[in-house]
Amino acid sequence: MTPIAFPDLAFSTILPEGILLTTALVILLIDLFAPKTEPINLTLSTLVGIALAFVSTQAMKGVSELGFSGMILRDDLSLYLDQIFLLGAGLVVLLSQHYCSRLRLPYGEYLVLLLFSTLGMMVIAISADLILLFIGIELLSLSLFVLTGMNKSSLLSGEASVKYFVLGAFSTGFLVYGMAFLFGLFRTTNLVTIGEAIGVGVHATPLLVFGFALVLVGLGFKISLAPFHMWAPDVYQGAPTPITAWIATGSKVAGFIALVRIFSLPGASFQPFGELWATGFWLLAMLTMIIGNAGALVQTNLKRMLAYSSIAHGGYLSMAFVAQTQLSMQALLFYLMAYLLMTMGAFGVVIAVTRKGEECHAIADLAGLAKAHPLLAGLMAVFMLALAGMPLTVGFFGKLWLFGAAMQSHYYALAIVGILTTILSFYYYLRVIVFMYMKEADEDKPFDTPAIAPQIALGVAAAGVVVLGLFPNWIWKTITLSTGTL
Amino acid sequence: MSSILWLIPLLPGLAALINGLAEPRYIRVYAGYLAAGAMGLTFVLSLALLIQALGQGEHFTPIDRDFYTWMEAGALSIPFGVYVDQLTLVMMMVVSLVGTIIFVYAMGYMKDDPGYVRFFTYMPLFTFFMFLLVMGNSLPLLFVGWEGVGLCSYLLIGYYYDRDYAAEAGKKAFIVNRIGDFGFMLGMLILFWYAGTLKFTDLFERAPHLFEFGGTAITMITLLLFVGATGKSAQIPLFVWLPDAMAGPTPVSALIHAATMVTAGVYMVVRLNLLFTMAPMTLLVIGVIGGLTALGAASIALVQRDAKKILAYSTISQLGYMFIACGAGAYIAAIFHLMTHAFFKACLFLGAGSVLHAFHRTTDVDVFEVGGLRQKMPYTRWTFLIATLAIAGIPPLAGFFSKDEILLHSFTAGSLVIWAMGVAAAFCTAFYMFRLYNLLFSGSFRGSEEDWHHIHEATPVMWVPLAVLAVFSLCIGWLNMPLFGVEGFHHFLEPVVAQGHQEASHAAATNDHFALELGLAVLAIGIALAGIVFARLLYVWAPAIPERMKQAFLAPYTVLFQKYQVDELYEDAVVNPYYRACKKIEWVDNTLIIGGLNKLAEAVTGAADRLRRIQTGAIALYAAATVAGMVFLVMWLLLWY
Repeated sequence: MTPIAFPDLAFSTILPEGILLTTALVILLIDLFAPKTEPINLTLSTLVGIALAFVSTQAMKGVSELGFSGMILRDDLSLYLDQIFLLGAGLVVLLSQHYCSRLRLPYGEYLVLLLFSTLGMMVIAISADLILLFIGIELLSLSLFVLTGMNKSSLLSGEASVKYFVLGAFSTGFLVYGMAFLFGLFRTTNLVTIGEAIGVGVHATPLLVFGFALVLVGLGFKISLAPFHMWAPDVYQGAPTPITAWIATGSKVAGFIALVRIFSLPGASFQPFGELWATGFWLLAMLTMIIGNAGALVQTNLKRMLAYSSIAHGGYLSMAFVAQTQLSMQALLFYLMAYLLMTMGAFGVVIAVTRKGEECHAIADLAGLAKAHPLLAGLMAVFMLALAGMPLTVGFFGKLWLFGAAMQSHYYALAIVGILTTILSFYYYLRVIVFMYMKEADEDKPFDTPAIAPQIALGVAAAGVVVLGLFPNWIWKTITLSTGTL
Repeated sequence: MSSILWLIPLLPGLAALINGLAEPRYIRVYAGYLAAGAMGLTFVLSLALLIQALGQGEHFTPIDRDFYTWMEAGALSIPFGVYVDQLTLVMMMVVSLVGTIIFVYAMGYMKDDPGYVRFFTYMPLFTFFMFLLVMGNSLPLLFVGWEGVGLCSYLLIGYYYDRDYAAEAGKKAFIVNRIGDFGFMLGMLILFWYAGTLKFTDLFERAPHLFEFGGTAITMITLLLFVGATGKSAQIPLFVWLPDAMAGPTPVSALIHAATMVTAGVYMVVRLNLLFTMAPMTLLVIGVIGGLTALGAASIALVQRDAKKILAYSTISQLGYMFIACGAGAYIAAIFHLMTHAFFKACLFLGAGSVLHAFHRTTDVDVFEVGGLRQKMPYTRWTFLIATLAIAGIPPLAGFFSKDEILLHSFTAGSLVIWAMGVAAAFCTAFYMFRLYNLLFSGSFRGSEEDWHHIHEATPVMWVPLAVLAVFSLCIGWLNMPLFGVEGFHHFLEPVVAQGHQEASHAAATNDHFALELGLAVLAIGIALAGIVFARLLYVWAPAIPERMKQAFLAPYTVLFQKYQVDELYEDAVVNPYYRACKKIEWVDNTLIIGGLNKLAEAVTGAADRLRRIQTGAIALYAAATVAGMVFLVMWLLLWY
């Protein structure tokens, strides 16, 4: 009688995910058995967990192995992405505690869901299988749906949550449908196997096109590419602001990573489909850049403006899939980090700045911030300039390389539209600075003293924006190393 | 030692950063100490470096250290690094020593100024860039320093920004320098085009093989670089900004517009002496420009009435001497004069500042309304006298040695016309300097009773720096005295110009012409003495004569007093036509471009506004849009498939 062979699961490949999951469970238990725990202790425990996971990713550098019967691909790329997610999660935690106590949100549950959503992102990053990818996306999405509606006293928050859920479920339908097509064609859900099959040129049928198009729609929703972007402004506006920041950054980065995993299949040769995907992304990138920037132009609400700014950036980032070169992929990975820091910082200022206990919803509410809190105004100015793509900030190099990659692959129209819309974007980014520095504050609503933790998060984000703007090579090297596997 | 080189520019940079960022109310007490302390430390470090280099003697090799790659684009790779050879060491000593002294002086001079902290932010920032300029190991880095000191110069000229003339003067300095910088940049680009590198060590290595001696390329490059030097070092035709620059506080005039920044052009030429030596045509141009500037500026100084203006023209004239030396291939003589000039001219400016301070004014004291100050300001008077003797070229003071060497070199180089201009300028120098001295300190006071009452000697924090500078004005020339047959300073700097064969042959030639040297020296002393006596005669013994002379020679007097009307000429020939052209372009800009852009912006916001109306918030609509998008996308893809 042969013993049943226990498959080699290689648990070591999911060490960071394991640490994060443990942290989430611990917080859950603390919240259950000791509900009176001081929020600061919860914050610190969460941060310790995130830090441990971060350390473990650093320690694992250099691995490249498949685990769990080929469902998990643990390589340097996934480690770099994990670090982006963990950094983002840490920043969100720092931004959240004060915000939650102000709005009386259940902080323990909030943290647990936040950690689960992070876990979802990290699962996406290591997926080498469509099923796992789907699980990651759903773990992320479901957590975010709940988090969006966490502010039960706010009608907007509830509306946003329902909207996000309904439309999210709708788009998930497309995603699953597309994945089903792929499975039907290839008889496998394993991305590596699918990639090899495409590489040797089998199954080159319109059905494949259809399958990929459906996946693109499903994921396009997650990263709010036009015309699947319409939920974003409403949800961004209604969700608790730290969650907005998290949806705008972490969730969007994760969506792009899912695209990287699917559309840059390991071992797959892009021909003959490369050009086809390029055409698809070309269209979406074009539309997204134009609609995102035009939408941001007319907003008076700060969070909506940032939502459109985030949509526009999704357009810039999609250019990487059009160019489809080593450089464009590296630029994408660099800009994802840059984008996370800039956007998180911008939302962070919205969180940190309150007037008489109220958030600054309108851009005009920031008037006079430079006088009241020169530090916060300065940080906001840095983030705005970075988002606009000023040199000496990280935003400049990101755009430079993305546009440069598009030019190299001869997509001139795309690059030109990118540059023109970037010029357009200066208007709405600089307008924030104009309000902060050149307009007088409304005396009736004085600015409150900001809490410490958000300021730390802002400081970290701003330092990243400036330091990486001056020395982009710092992470560029890591990226170059990790994209060897693509 | 060389590992802490980077501290030298960094220390004043840090001081500037702290003073600039801290709340002025709190930092005010410390700002001066911080800046002067940082400068003092850089001086100690520079001195340590110099001593180390002197200790190594013949074995000293230039330090060339790259810290990191600053930019890289194709063939262009510019490291951020320092190059320290004997020339750099001399410049570092001058900047740090004169800088420290002037910073200390300024703590007294600027004590009651409301912009004290701002002043002590810009000044260390200036020295930061000045160190970058002299220490950078490539032309682009030198250029960063070059532009940086230009910026600080602009900021400090316009220091009293609430006065129109100061703001105007700042702008003028900036714009005129921009013209020079354009030439400089062009030169740099062409040099890169040919040599493929802008790093000094690589340039020195490659240039001799790349360029043909006296060829078009090298001549063009060096001429363009020299255009930059005429801007920064205030030579004809771009000298017009320096006299106006006196609108800044006096310590600024002393440090930036006399001792250090304006000599950057000379430094640049000497740094690249290898290139300049290969272009005899350029050297001739430099010599002629230097000679014309030396004489022209000195002649203007003869009749001016504002003490600081006189000193400004004197600076221009002395810089002319340095370029005469460069033109004759006597680079070491140029640097030697640069160094001695830094001390005595700083001393003169600070002395004039001391007088201004006594009058409680910041600029503009008509020397004909002063006089007799020797009774009330003994320290200022004696130090001023020493420095005046030094600049007039009376042995054994500093100016005698350096100026004498320049005249000797220009004589032996065979350009007698330039030499004659130098000698004439020397006479003018002795005359106008003693005219200034006599008008300020001799005779009796010509101003109001009340002013006389207020006048007082400077406080120790101001006169001690004066005294130190006076001692240097007295002694610094001895560095190059031919003791035991070796000219110390010359010998030290020799490796820097060793490549310039011309220079070496000159040095050999002068050794053979001891009699000639002596004769020229005696002539120079005689001329200086004549100038002094003449000034004494006109302004002390027979004060009625100048007025009569003025009436007799009204036409030439007016020409000189109005500074050859160069400003007016530029105004008519360049500025006004430019303005008129700009006015026309403004119309194009306002109606076509801005008007068009406004129309475009309206169109964009209009379209965006219409887009916004789609965003109704209805979920069904959003879902429909998603489906429509999907259908469109699939069709689009299948279309291309």
